[in-house]
Amino acid sequence: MSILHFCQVIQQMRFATALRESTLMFPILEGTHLLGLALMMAPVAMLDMRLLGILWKDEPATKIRNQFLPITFAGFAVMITTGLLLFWSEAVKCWSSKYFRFKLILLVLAGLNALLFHSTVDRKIKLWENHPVPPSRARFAGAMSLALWTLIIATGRYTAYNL
Amino acid sequence: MNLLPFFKWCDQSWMGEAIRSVTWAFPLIETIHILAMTVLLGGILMMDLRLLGAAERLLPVSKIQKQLTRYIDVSLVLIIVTGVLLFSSEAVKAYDNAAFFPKMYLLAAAVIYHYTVHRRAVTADNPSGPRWARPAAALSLALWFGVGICGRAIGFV
Repeated sequence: MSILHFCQVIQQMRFATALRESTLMFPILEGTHLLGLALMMAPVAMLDMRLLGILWKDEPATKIRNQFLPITFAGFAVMITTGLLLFWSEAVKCWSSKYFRFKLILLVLAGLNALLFHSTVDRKIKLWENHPVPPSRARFAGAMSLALWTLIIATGRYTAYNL
Repeated sequence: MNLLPFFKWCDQSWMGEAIRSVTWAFPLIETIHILAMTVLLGGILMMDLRLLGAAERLLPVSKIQKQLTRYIDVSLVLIIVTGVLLFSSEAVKAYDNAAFFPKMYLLAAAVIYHYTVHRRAVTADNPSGPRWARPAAALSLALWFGVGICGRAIGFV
């Protein structure tokens, strides 16, 4: 079964069809996905800006992480839930868009970036938490995170266009 | 006051024509509009979650405000500029759209509120804001998310 076939099958399911053809549910779902961006991105950006040594330079990096990272879980939950439902209801259209497929790759990269950061540089965070400008590996993780998420948002928007 | 002639004029402006004639212009401007929205709404959310007591209490709200205020100001300018450009490319459609005017009213209210009452709340000496922090934050979020919801609704009504 090809991926396209899989998309056709799941989007023909009753729930997916109901969602796709709904007057209110789909707009609400899409609107929540869009506005949820703020909830997800902002706390991530707060930590990234600290890792880059651009904002919060006089605060320990651990404090910034502990202040903002808990919020990201709520943000990710909203984005993943709404995202999956949106995909399910329009699987074929999404998969047919090269921007969407690129977005999926970027999402994986963003996840890998976070994983890499947490398993390496973050382990030694106590060593540099008070440095206004953290070591280069941490700065790289922050820059990659911001760049990837910005591209993810852009490709998400472009999915609707057939450019 | 009949605004339709003004909207028609906007539609026919060189700006509106330019954006309509270049296929990739509208999507690009719209994407910048959304990225600006993420910064604007996100920054305000960081302060309001703190005021609501829904976030950790490690940082005083005035500190969050101080670090983010410039980014919020710039993203507000950017979102308005891109908004005007988007509007000029389909002004008459906007005029007839049920969500457009509500969005503009809410935007005006949100901006005024943000730079007056809300500013007082987030620059308070108390790290968790004044006694009226919670309703102040709730109103802020209602106004700004109201703008966002109307903005999305433009595509559906």
